[in-house]
Amino acid sequence: MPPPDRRGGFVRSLFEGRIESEAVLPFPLPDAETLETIAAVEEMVREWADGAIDPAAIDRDKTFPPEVLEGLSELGLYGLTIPEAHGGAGMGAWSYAKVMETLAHRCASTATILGAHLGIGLKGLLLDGTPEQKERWLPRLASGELIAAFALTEAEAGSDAAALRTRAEALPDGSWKLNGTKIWITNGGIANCFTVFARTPDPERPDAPLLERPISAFFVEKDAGGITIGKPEDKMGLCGSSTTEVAFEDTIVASQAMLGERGQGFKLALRILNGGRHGLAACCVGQAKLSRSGAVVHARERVQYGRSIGEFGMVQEMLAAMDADIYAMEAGTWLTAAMMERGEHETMLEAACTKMYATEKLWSVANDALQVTGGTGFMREYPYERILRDARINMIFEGTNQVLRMMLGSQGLRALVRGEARPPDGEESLQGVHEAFAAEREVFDALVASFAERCRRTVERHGKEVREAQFALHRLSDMAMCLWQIAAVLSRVSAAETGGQASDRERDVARLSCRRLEREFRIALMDEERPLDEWVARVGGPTP
Amino acid sequence: MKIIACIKRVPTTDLEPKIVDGKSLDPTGVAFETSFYDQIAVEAALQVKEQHGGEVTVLTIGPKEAQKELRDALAKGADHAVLLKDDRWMSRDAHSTARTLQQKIQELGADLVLTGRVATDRDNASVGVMLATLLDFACVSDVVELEIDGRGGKARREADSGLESYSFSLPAVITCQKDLNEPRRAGLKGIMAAKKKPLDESDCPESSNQAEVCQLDTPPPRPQGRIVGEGAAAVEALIDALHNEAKVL
Repeated sequence: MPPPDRRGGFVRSLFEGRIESEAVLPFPLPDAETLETIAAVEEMVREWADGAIDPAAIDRDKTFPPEVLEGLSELGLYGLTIPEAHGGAGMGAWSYAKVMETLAHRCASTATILGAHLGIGLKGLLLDGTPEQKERWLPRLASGELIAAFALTEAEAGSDAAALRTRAEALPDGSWKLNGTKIWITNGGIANCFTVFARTPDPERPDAPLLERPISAFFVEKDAGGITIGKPEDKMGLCGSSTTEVAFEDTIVASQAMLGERGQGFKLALRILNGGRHGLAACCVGQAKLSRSGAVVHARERVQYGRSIGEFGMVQEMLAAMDADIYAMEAGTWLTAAMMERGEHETMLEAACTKMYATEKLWSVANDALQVTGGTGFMREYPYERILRDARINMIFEGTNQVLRMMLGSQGLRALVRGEARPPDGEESLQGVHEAFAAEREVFDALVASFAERCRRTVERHGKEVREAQFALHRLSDMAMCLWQIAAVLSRVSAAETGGQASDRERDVARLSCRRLEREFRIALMDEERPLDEWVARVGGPTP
Repeated sequence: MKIIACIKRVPTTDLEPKIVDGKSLDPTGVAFETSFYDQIAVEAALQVKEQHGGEVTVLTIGPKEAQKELRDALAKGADHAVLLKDDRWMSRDAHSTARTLQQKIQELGADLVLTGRVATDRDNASVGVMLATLLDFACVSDVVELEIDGRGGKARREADSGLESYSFSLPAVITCQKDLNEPRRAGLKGIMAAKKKPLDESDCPESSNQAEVCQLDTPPPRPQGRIVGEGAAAVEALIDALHNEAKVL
C-alpha cells in the first residue's frame, strides 16, 4: 500500500514541463542483500522452469499440466508477495517482476497463471483486507491450496468496467447474495477463490437504478455455492492458461467477505490493476528476450548468398532494434518496480507507460524475430509463432493500450485543466545523468519543453473537453510514454556507468534506444503540429 | 551427528574457456555453480540428517562470491556454512585443498564428511580420498548407495567391473557418485530462511601447492563434419570414408 505522503509522479510533472529528477535518478536499486536473494530466486525459478515446463506441449494440448501447478506450489511461488507473517515470502514489486520475467521467458501461460493469482487475484486482500481476512485466506493462498482469480469483466463491462451489473443484495443476517456473470476470467477453471466486484445498494438511495449503485468488492470461495464455471474459452494464445465465464447465482457470502469499504470497490479494482501492470511488462521482457535469442542464433547460422544472414544490413536493423527496445523495456519495468518498492513516488502513470511500451515492443520484437527466422519461424515446430499469439493479448488485457492512453493523457493534463499546474521556474533538466550521456540528456530536456508546450496548447484549445479529444490524447500520451522510457534508459545506463559495469556495447544499445524513442516522440509531435484529425474523423468515423 | 559437506564453486559446464597467461582461466563473464557431484554430497548430507538427526555444515574454499553456493546449500536445508576465503582457489592443488579442509574439519569436528567424487572443473578426483587419509577417517569413494546407522554405515561403490559393497565405521569420508541421489531444489521459503542462517567467513590459511599448473590448453577444435551424400546411394561412400579416412571400421 502506498504511503500517504507520496510526492507527485515523474510522468505527471512532465505534462507541466517539470522534471522531477530525484524520482528516477539515481536508479533506485534495492539493497545488495535483496538483490542477492532475488538472484537466487530467479535462478531457482529458471532451473525449475527449464526442466519442468514444456511450453510447446502446453500450447498444443491447450491444457495445463497439474504437475506444473504443483511445482509452483512446492517452490513457494504462490506466496511470493504475501507477507512472511501470513506464510508467504514477503517479497516486493522488484522480485515479483523478476519472477514473472523468468517464468515468461520459459512459458507465457505459466506466468499468466501466477500473475492472475498474485498480481490481481489476491491483491485486493493485500491492499484492503482486514487482519482477520488476511489471517483467514492468505496462508492458504501462499501455499497454493487456494488459487485466486480476479472477477471484474462482464459482457457489457469490458474497458468500461464501471458498467458492471453483477449485484449483491444485503440479507437480514448481514450476509450478501451475489447474482451476475463474469466473463474472460483468467484462472477461471483452476481458481477456488475470486475477488468479485458487484453493485451494492446505496443506503442513501435505496431505489437507485442498478447502474447508479456503488460497487463493492468481495472475496468469495468457490465452495460458497451457486458458482458455475463455464467451458474453457478457445483462444488465440496463452492456450495453457484457463479463461472461463464465472457465473454467480444466489451465491451467499458472509459480511466478512467484503473487501475494503462498502461502495469503494471500483477504486480498489483500479488500485489493483495499477499495481499489477509492471508484472505484465516484466512478462513481455521475458518473452522478448526469448524471441531475440533465437533470432540472433538463426541470423548467425543461416547462410544465404554464401553469407550468414546476420551480415545483411536489413537483418542487422531488426536485431539492433530488438536489443535497443528490450533495453528500454527492461529499464522502464525495473524502474517502475523499484519505485513501487520504495513507495516514495506515485507510479500509476509510470506503470501505464511501461505496460503500453513493453506490450507494443514485445509485439514488434516477436514479429521481427519471426521475420529474421523466415520460413522456419512460421513453422509451429519453433516458438516464434506461439510467442506472437501469446503476445497479442497483452495489448488488450489489464487495460487496453487505448484505455491506458486515455487515462495517461487525461490524468496528466488534469492539473492544467484545473488551472493548478505548477510550471517550472526556469529551464528544467534531468539531473544525475552520467556525463557520457550528456547529449542524450540535452535532447530529453528539449523534448520535455516541447511536450509541455503542446500540452498547454491542447488544454487551451479543448479546455475541460480535452478528455474527449482522443486524437490529441493519443499523441500526447505517446510523447509522455517516450519521455518516460528515455528517462528510464538514461537512469539505467547512468547506474551502469557509475557502478563501472557499462560496456561499450551497453552504451551503444542505450544510445540507439534513446534515438529510437526520440524518433517515436517526433512522429507524434509532427502529427500534433500538423494534425490529420479532420480527415481521420471523416474517413474513420461512423458511416451514415 | 555432525555432518560436513565439502563443496566447490566451479565454472558452469557449458563454459567456453578462454585461457590467459598460458595457464589460467579467464574469469570474465564466467558463470559459477556448485560442482555437480558436490550437490549430490549436500543432498546425501541432508538425507542423513533427516534420518538420524544432527547438523549439516557446508564448507568451501573460495572467493567471497562463493557465498552464493553456500547460501544455496543453506536454502536446501543445511544449518551452517563456512567459507575459507581464497581468491586463488581455482589454482590450488588437491593436496593443499585437502590439507586446508582437514584443518578446518578437525576444528569443527565431524562424524561424517561428504564430498563429490570429483570437481567438474579440474577433474582430479583426489581431494576426497586425500582428505580421508589426512583425517585418518574411513573412506569409501564413488558411492552410489549409502546407509548410515548410528556408529557406522554401509555403502556401495561403483568400480570399473561392477559394484562393491562396504561396511565402514564412523568417522568417515564418503565421495559421492551421480546415482546416489537426486539433489532437491531450494524453494522460496528455503531461500528466505537461508538469509538468517549462520555463514562464517575467515581467511584461508596459507598453504603452498606441491603441484603447479605450468600450462593450460583447450582441446584442439573438432574438424567440421562432411556430408558424403544422401540416401542409400551414400552408404558406399560413407563406409569407404569410415574405413579409409577415419579408420574406425
